[in-house]
Amino acid sequence: MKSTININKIILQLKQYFLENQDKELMYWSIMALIFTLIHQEGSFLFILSISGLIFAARQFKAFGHTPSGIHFLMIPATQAEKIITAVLLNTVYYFIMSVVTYTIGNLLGSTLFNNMMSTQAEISWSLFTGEQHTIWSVLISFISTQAIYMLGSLIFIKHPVRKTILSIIAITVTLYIIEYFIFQIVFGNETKLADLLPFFTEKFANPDDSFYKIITLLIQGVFAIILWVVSYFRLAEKEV
Amino acid sequence: MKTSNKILIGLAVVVVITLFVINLVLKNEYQNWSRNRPTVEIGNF
Repeated sequence: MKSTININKIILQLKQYFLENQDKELMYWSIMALIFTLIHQEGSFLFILSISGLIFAARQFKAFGHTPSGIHFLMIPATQAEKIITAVLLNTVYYFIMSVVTYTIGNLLGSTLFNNMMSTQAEISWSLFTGEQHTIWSVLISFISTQAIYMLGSLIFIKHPVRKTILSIIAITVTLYIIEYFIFQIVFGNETKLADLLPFFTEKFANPDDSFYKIITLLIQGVFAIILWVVSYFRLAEKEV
Repeated sequence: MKTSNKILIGLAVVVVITLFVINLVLKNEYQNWSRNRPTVEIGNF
């Protein structure tokens, strides 16, 4: 199994992707800019980014759903490591940059149009970048880890990867919650209430004022993403059509 | 067994151990939080 990495081959794969999909991509990002023109709140951006991003990542290896396309994909003259790096660049770096660019355009257009139509002078909100609730970097790291999950999902599930990955995440979350409840009872004793579990950990790890736990959470997400990329690499290397 | 499955099983074990360690580390903080948080008795508004 060859695992060398040649930057030129990654660039060639990216070029091939954009040549094959340029019309589709142009249409897609125009629609996204239009959506962000109509809805340009920070929360809407995060919601749209996570939903559309997961669909993009979970369909990354859709070629394996169709045997001839799967064979064609495996025959591409690049190592599996180069194919995984290309996939990560597309579903994480490219997708995030394009989402931020279209959001910026949509926010500018939407706010200007709103001001002109209503004859107001409301200031354009850039709360996504100024970090009142989330910083752009924490959004990026969360995005990287979720994209890594869905990319792995697209390699594990050949048919219907989006819904199967979502169902698997729900099943894993419920299992972890049950395990955590038992650990909680072992450590804290039987007087612990189930209702205490979520508020305590949410307050601890989602508190924007507590930078220590915030950094720990981001670090765990980053390490988690790297592990999932490695698993994706092995999964692709073991792939049979 | 496939390497990817071995890593996933290893990851699951690490996650459970991490949860256990986090719970142990946060034991005192939970007890303080539980003692100090505001409570409302139903029917006593």
